[in-house]
Amino acid sequence: MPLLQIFFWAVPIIALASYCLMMMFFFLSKKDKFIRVFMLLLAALIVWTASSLFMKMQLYPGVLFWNRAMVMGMLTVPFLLYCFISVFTNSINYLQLAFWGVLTVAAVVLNLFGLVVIDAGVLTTTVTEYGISFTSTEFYYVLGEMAPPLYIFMLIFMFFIIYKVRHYLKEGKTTYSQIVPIIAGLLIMFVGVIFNLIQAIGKYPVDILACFINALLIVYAIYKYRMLELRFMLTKGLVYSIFLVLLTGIYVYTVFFFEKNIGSLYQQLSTYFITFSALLIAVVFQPLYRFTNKLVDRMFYKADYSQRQALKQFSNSISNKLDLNDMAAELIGAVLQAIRAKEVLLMLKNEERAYYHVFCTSSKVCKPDIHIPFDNPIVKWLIGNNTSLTREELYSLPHFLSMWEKEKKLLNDMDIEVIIPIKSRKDLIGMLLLTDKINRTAYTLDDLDLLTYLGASSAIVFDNARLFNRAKAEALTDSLTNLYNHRYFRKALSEHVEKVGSAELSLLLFDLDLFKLYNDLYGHFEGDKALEKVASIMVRLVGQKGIPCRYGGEEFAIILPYFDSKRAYDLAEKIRLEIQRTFFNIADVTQRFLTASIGVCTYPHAAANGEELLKRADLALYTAKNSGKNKTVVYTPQFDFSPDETERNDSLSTIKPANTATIYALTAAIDAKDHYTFGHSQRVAEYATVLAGALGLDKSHLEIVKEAALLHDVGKIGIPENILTKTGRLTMEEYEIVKKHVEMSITIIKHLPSMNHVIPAVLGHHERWDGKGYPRGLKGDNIPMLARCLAVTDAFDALTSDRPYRATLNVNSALNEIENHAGTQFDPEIARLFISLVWEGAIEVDHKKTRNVL
Amino acid sequence: MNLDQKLRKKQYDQIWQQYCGFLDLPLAGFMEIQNRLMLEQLDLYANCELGWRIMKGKKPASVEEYRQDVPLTTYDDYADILLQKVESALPTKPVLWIETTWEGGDKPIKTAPYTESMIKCHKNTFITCMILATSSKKGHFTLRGGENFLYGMAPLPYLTGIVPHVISGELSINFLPPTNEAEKMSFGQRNKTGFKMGLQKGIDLFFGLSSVIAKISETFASGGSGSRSSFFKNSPKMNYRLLKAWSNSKHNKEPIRPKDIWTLKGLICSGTDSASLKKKIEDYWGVKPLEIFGGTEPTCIATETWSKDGMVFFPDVCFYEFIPKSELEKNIDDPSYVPNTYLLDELVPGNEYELVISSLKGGAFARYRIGDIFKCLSLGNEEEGVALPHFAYIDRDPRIIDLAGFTRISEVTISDAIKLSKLDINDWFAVKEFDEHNRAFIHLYVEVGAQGLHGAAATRDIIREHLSIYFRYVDTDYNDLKYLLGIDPLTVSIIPTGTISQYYDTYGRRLRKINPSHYDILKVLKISRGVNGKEVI
Repeated sequence: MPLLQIFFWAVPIIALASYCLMMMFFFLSKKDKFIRVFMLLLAALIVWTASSLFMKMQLYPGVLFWNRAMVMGMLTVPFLLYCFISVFTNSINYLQLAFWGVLTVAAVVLNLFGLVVIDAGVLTTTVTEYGISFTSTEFYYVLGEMAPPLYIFMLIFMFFIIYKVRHYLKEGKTTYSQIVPIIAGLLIMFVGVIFNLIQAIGKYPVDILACFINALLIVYAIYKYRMLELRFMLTKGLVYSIFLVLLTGIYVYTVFFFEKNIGSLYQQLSTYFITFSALLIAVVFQPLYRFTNKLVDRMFYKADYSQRQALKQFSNSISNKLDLNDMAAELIGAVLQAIRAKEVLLMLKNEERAYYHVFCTSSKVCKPDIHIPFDNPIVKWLIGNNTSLTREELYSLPHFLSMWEKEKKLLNDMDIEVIIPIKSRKDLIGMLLLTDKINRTAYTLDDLDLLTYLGASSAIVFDNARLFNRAKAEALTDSLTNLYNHRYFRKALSEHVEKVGSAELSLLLFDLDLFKLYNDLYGHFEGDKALEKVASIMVRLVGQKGIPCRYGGEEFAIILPYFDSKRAYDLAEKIRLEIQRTFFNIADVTQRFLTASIGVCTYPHAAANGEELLKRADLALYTAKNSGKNKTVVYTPQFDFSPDETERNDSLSTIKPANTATIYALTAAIDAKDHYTFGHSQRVAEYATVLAGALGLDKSHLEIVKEAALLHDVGKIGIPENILTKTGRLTMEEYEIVKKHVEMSITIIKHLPSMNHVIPAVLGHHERWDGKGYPRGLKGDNIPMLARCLAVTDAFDALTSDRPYRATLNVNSALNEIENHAGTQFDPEIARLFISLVWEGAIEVDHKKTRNVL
Repeated sequence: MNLDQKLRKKQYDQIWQQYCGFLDLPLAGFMEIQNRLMLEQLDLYANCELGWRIMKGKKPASVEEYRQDVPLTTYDDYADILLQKVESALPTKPVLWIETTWEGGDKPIKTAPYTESMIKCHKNTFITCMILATSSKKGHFTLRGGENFLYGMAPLPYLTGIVPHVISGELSINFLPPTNEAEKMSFGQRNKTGFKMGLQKGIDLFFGLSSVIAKISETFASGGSGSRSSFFKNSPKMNYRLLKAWSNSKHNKEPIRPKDIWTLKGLICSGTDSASLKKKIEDYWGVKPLEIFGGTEPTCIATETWSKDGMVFFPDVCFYEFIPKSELEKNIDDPSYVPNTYLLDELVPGNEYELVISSLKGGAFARYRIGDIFKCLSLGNEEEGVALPHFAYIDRDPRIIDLAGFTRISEVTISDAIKLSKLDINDWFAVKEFDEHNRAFIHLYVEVGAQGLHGAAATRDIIREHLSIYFRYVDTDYNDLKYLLGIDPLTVSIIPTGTISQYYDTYGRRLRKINPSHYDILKVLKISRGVNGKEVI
C-alpha cells in the first residue's frame, strides 16, 4: 500500500480510536464543568473524524451524507473550543457566547439544508498499463454559494478565539504555562483548516490530523492544570488488553498470510506449514509477551518493585541487629530505597526529658537539634491511630488546631510531608519524618501503607534494641551522674591513648574540695544533687570534645584526645570557674559552696602511657589540693620528686603547729581591732571543750571544737569598727552586716590549710534549734553538734560579759536565760548539760575576765 | 493546595473536614485545644512588657494559675501601649492594626494588633462561615469558587476589611464591588454599587449587618433601591430573572423581593439585632441567614452551623471564659466586686453570660471583657451531631446601648450630649427598647430641673430634638444610623422631678443609668405615677 494511502487511512482511524478512548476515560472519571465541555468538544471531533472515515469507506447512506455530517462537525468545533477556553479561564461572557452560538447554529442549519455542500461522490478511474490494471479512487465535492462565507466565518471565529486567549493572558486570568498547549493546538488547527482550502492538500485528512494534535494538546493542558492522575485513567488491565488485541491481530494475520501465500503454493504441505508457523509465532511471541509483561509491570509497578526489594532487605537485616545506631541506619536506608524521599529523620523517645529527639537522619552532614514534647498533638494522634500522618492531615484535622505556631513552623521549615509512627503496642517508641520525594510526586496510599508497615515491623526490634542499649549503657555509666563510670574510663583511656598515637591527649582529674563537709552540712541528698550539677557542667562545657567520667566518689576525670596541656588547662579552668560560680556565691550567704581542684597531665609530653598519665594527673591534683584548693595544676616533671604517701602524712602532721600559730595570729588580729572578742573566743573555747567532753566526744572532736571556738568570730575582722563598738541599738542594716561575720569567718578559714574541719561548727554557731537562726536556717539535729555546743557557750559568755549596749548579767540570770531558750534557741539537752556543768563547777566562770563582748 | 484547587478536584469531604471538622470535636477535645493554645500564649506573654504588666510579674505555669492570678481587664489596661502602637511591648510583632470606635473611652478610637497567625486564623474562620452559610446539611455545601459576593461591610482598618484582602489567595471570589474600588467608596455608595453590579452579574453570597440587610431589603421591595441597571450590561440570565420577577410581581400585585431576582447560595449576617431580624431577612432573600459573631479585639469567634440555629465558638481563635449574669449584676452594682468566671464546659443551658476572651496566637488581650452577653442555648445539638455548646447573642453589656450594630451609646455619651445641650435636666435613665418593626431605639426618661419647670421650654419634642443634634455631634456613628437606616432612634419620656431620688430613698440603692432591670423600671414608673398622680408623658 503506498505511504500516502496509509496516511489517508491511518490518520482518521487513529484519531477516531483515540477520541473514543478519551471519551471513555472522561466518561468514567469524575466530571466537572471542564470535563463536560471537553467531552462536548470531543463529541464534535468524533462526528468530524468518523464522518470523514465513513465517507472514505462509502458507508450507507452515502458519501454526500457523511460529507455534510463532517462539515457539521467542523462547524461546531470552533464554538465548543471557545466554550472550553471560557470555562478554562473562568471568564464566561454570556452575550458573546450567545452571539457565536447563534451564528454556529445558523451555519449548521445552512449545512443541513445543503447550502454548503451541494454534491459529493467518488470518481473511480481504471488505467491499464503493460497489461496491469490500476484503479484509483478520488473523492469530489461541489461547494454551494454559502461555503465561502462560512469558511470566512470559521476563520474569523478561530482568529477571535486566539485573540481572546491572548486577552485573558494579559488580564492574568490564566498563566502562560497553562495556556501554551491550548494556543499551540489552536494554531495547528487553524493551519489545518487553511490547508483544507488548498485542493491539492485538502483532499488528504490534514485537518483531521490537526484536530487530533489539538485534542492531544488540550488533554495535556487539562492534565497539567488539573493534575489528573494518568495512572488512574490508564489502568494496567487496559494496557494489557490493548496489547493482547494487537498481538492476537498480528498472530491471526501471520497465520492467515502463511496459509494464503505458502499454503496455496505447496498444498500438500499446507497443514505442516500452518502448524509450523503457529508454533514459530508462539515461540517468537511468547518472549515478546513476557517482555511486554515486564515492561508494563515496570511502568506501573516500578515503585512497588523497589519497595518489595527494600522490605525484603530490611526484614533480613534487622532480625540479627541489636545496636540502635545500626538499626536506625538500616531503617532509614530501607525507607530511602523504597520511597526515595529527599530526607528522612528518625526521632526516638527520651523518657527522662519527656520528648522525642532526632536520633538519626539520612543526611550525613546535619542532624537538627529538634524536640517534639510528649504533649504535642502529633504524639497524641500517633498514639491513638495506627496510621501515618500526612502534611495535609496536619493542616486539616481539628485535632491539630492546638499546635503552637513554633511547632508548625518547625515542621514547615523542615518540609515534612509524612510522619510514620514506630509503635510497640500502645507505646510510641519513635517516629519517622519524611520530606517530599526526590521526583516531587505525591505520596500514594501504597507508599503510606508500606511506610506504616516498616514503622510497625521495626517497632518491636527497636524496643528490644533500646532495652539492650539501655542495659549496655547502664553497665558503663554512673547511674547518678549519667557520666561514664570508672570501668569505662580505664578502658577508654587506654583505647584513646592508643588511638591518638603520637598526637596529644590530656587527662583532667577533678576532686571536689571539702565534699565530705558538704555532705555533712547539707546531707547526702544535697551532695548527690551537687554531683549531678557538676557532671552537667562538665558535659555542657566539654561537649563532644572529650569524655567526662565519674572516677569515683567526688572525683571526676575527663579524657581529652588531641588536647595539648594549654588547651586542657584552659578548659579545666573554665570548668573550675563555672563550678565556683554555680556553688559559691558571695552575694548570697545562704548559697551552698563547693569548689574543685584539678590536676592536668598531657600524653605523650609528660607521660609515656595511660597508666603514667593517670598517676601524674593524680600528682598534679594532689598538689592543687595541698596548695589552697580550688585551683588547676598542670603536671610538670619536678612533681616526681615530691614526697610520697608517707611523706604526705608527715607533712600533714607538721602543718598542725603552724595552724595553731595561725589561729592565734588571727585572734590577735581581731584583738587589735576589737580587743573584747579575743577574750571572748578564749573563754568560749574553754567552755566548749568542757561541754564537748561531757557530751562524750573524743579527743579529736575536743580539738576541733576548741579551734572552732577560737575562730568562730574571726570574720569580725571584716566588720566596720563603729558597728562593733556601737553603744546604742543596731539598725536593721547594721545587724545584717554583723550577721555576715559568719560567712566571712568561713571565707578566712577556707584559706587555712587543713582547717576545713572547723567549718561546720563555725558556720552553724548562730543557727537556732527552732530553725530561725542564720545563715542557713538549719533546724534541730540538722545543726552540727559542735555548732550547737558553740551556740550555748557563745551565748552564755555574751550574757555574762559587758556589752556596749547592755550591762553584764550574773551567772544565775545568764543560766536562766539559757534555760528559757532551751528548745527554741538552743538544743535542750546540750543547754541543760551546760547548766548542770556550770552548777557543778565543771565550768568555771571567771568574772574578772569578762569584757564587753558583742 | 489552596481551597480553589481542592474545589476543582472535588475534594469536598476534605474541605469540610478542614474547615468545619471542629464541629465534630467532643467538648473535652475542644477544651484541650483551648488549654494548649492558652499555654502557648502564656509562653509568649512571659517575654514581653505587656505580659509582665498584665501578669503582674508572675509567670503562670497553667491555665488555672493564669485565671487565678490575672485580673479581668478592659481596654484602659492596654490603651497606652496599643493606642501608641508600641509593637516592641507586645507578645508577637503585629502585621496589621485594626481600629474601631471606643464607646465611652478616653480616645475616639481603639486599636488592636493582629499577628500573622491571627490573620491566617481569621481567614480560615471566615471561609468556614462561607461554607456553613452555603450548607443545609452536614458535609454538604455549594461553595465552588468564582461566586459573586456582595460584601456590605466596612473596609480596612476595620476588622471586616481584612477578609477581601486575605481570601483571594485561597479562593477566587468576585467581590461586589471589587475590593480596590470599594475601599474608596462611602458605606452607602458601596452598597448601592454592589447591588447594581449584582443586578448585572448575579449575587451568590451576601454578608452584611443584619440591620443594613433588613433596611436594604425593605427599600428594594418598595422600589427605592436606586440601583437601576442597564439591560445591555446585564447577563442574559439576570435579564431573564428580572423579566420573570417583574411579570410575577405584576401578576401577583406584590412588590419584587430580592429572592425573586437572586438565588443566593448563602447569606451571612452579624450585629446586635440579628436575632430579631433574621426571619425578616429570610423572607426577603429566600435563604436562612447564618449569624456570626466577631469584634475588633476577639476577631471572628463564633458561627452558626448548617442548621442556622445557635452559634458555636471556634476553638482556636480565643480562650473563652464566661461571667454569669448574676455575677455581672453584682459587679455593675459594686464595681469593686470581682466576678467569677466559668469555662465552656462549666456552663448551664438557659443562662446568660458575659463573654471574657484571652487572645491566642500572640494577640494582646488577656482576660478581656468585650462587653457582650450570650445565652447558652444548649450543651450540644444531638440532631446535628454537634457536641459543643450552642449560644444566642443577646446584647451588649447592659451598661451599653447598641443600636443596629452601628453605634454603642454609653452613660458618658448621654451625659456629654445632655451637658452640651444645656437643657435643664435634673436626672435621667435610658433603656434600649424595640419598635413594632423590631428596630432598636433609646428610650430616655428625664427629670426636668427647676429652670425647665419654670419658664424655659422643655417639652418632650424640644428635648428630643436637642439631644438628637448633640448625639449626632458626640457620636458620628449615630449620625450614620439616621442617614443610612433612616431611623431616629431616640424617644424621650419626662418623669416627675424627684422620681429617681425617691426610688433611692424607698429602695436604698441607686438606679442604674443605662438599662436598669425591668423590675426597677416598673418600680420607678410606679413611683412616678404615685407621686404626681399622672402618667409618664
